[in-house]
Amino acid sequence: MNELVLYLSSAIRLSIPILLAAIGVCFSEKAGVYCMNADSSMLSSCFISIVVTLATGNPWLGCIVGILVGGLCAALFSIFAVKLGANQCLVGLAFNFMVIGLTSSLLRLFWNTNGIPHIAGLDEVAIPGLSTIPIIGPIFFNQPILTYVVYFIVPISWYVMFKTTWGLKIRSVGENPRCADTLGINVIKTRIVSVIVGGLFCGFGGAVLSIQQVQTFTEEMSGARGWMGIIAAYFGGWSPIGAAGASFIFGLAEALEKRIQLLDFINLSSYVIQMFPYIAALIVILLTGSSRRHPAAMAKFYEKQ
Amino acid sequence: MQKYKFSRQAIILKILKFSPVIGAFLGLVVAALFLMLWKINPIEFFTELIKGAIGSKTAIGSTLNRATPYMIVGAATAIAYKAGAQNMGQEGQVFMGGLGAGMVAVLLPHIPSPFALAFALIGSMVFGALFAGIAVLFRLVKGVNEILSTLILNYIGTLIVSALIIGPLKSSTSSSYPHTDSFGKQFLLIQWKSFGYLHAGIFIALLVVAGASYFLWIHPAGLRLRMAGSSPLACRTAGGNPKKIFVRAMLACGALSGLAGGIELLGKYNNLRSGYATSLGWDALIVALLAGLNPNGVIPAAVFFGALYTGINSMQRTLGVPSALLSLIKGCIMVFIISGTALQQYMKVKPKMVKKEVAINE
Repeated sequence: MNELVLYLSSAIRLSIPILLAAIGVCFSEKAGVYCMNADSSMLSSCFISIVVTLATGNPWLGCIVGILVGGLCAALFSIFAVKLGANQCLVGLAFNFMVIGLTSSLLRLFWNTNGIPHIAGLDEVAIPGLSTIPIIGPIFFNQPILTYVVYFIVPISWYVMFKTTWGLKIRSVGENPRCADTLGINVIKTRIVSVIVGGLFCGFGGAVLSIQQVQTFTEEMSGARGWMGIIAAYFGGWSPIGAAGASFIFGLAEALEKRIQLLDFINLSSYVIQMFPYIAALIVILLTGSSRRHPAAMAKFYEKQ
Repeated sequence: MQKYKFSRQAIILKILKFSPVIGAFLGLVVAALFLMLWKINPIEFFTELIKGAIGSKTAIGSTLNRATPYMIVGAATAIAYKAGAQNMGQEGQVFMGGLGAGMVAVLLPHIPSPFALAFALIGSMVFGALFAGIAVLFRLVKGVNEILSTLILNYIGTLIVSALIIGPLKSSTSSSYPHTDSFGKQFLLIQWKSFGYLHAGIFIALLVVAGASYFLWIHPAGLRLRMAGSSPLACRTAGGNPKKIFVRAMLACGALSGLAGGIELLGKYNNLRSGYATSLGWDALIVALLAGLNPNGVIPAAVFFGALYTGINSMQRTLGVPSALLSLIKGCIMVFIISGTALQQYMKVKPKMVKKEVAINE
């Protein structure tokens, strides 16, 4: 029982970066922009947040700068993908290469081959009262502090997307941009803003990954989490709450990977164990199939007439 | 359109036709500027790059060696993209192809000489096609978009190879890095030692590119394939079956990517090891874009990228430049090319619209 509680608790902790990326993807793709930049926003934020934390000694500042850099990366992406109308999938991939190249070279430049030293990250904080509830307490309320922030982000972003005017604008721009345009909505601006908001969330995911979980930076550390975010959003039908469910599946797979490595009676090669999250991702896309109807204007360039 | 011949737009459109060349150049310039952080003079960067890539016989040999798989995978990618199959899984397919060739060589070591190499290469093609087949199956059964499934399959493919090397295929002799038993001599491609270990794979690559070019531009099936990619409806009207063409293009791309992996393995190494073709598939995707998704352009693009790879690797030894720089250049080149293509379309729309407005005013 205790083992199961520990397992679920670490699954939640590990699903948080993917969940944040998935929420970012929801915002971007609901507005009709294929969010292939998720991984690059995450990776750049991972790097910058660690560097700022090392320089200032303040993980909160690192987190905020990381979020902003994720947004900046998405803003650059939106110039090419939304304004110029380049192939969104390929531009996203190109951004991925650029960020991998930049972060890895800068890592070599400043820290040579030693790698970045570990930082004092954010540890678990048990919420008094709530954490004493049996089973639920240790699973949900004995987490690092940024996880609690995410508990609030999921319903808020759902509310913003489905219950506010701005959310309606985003969705209309993704479904039928011409119609939205005739109603006086600035399609390009709305798309750019929602891509940037998506980038901010992806950046937050990267900051959580580096500051709260790994507590250092290694080359290509985002390890396809951005793409898993895309899959999670797809599985959840581009709703933040659905995406949270899908991210939890990935969290379960990733926690299984970490747990099995600790158990010595299961003799599996570490490479096979590393495959678990990716196989989970494949199973999730296979289960979803084409049952989700994606926003009608997704990945389509819109030009004002 | 005569009116627009010397207008600003027409001139820009003419310049944009060369966007791959401009993109490649700008990518290098960005890298040179970035290297000022290392206090490396841009001029020094370019001279060292050229010296490292084509400065000696050895350098030319390794440039061409690197260009070999790029040519094959680049041509394969061009075919797949022309058919509308957005295969992003070349990386995994290349790795699986190497695994196929390696498994033939390790598990069937007694095949006589003339058949051994052929069997190994066929094995690599089968493995590559099967791996691409997973994404095809997903598409056919559940309608899953091939972009996401192939992206994830890349990670699985590289991990499968690593897992097999430390597991069932592990060599009996101990060594510092995990690898399989050495292959028999009859499996390896011919190498020319005096020419930087250039191997015979380059001839296979040239054949593949020529074949792809013939197929795509001269053979009727190539026309049908291009039609399926650009307008599935037109293809159906003309009696073609876009779905069938998609499946065949994906499988062909997988098989050729696998072949590239097999050639890379049998030409350069004599055992299967992990990470023997890291980022080869990704690079080849950009080679295909640089060639404008046209097999005719793949050879110069592949040689350019091979030279870039070799040059930067030699600079890593001489100047201490990180090899991750290649990734940055790759990304920059890709962004410039794609935005050039987009800009071309963006500009083309404009003159028509001006005409329309005039007509309305009259």
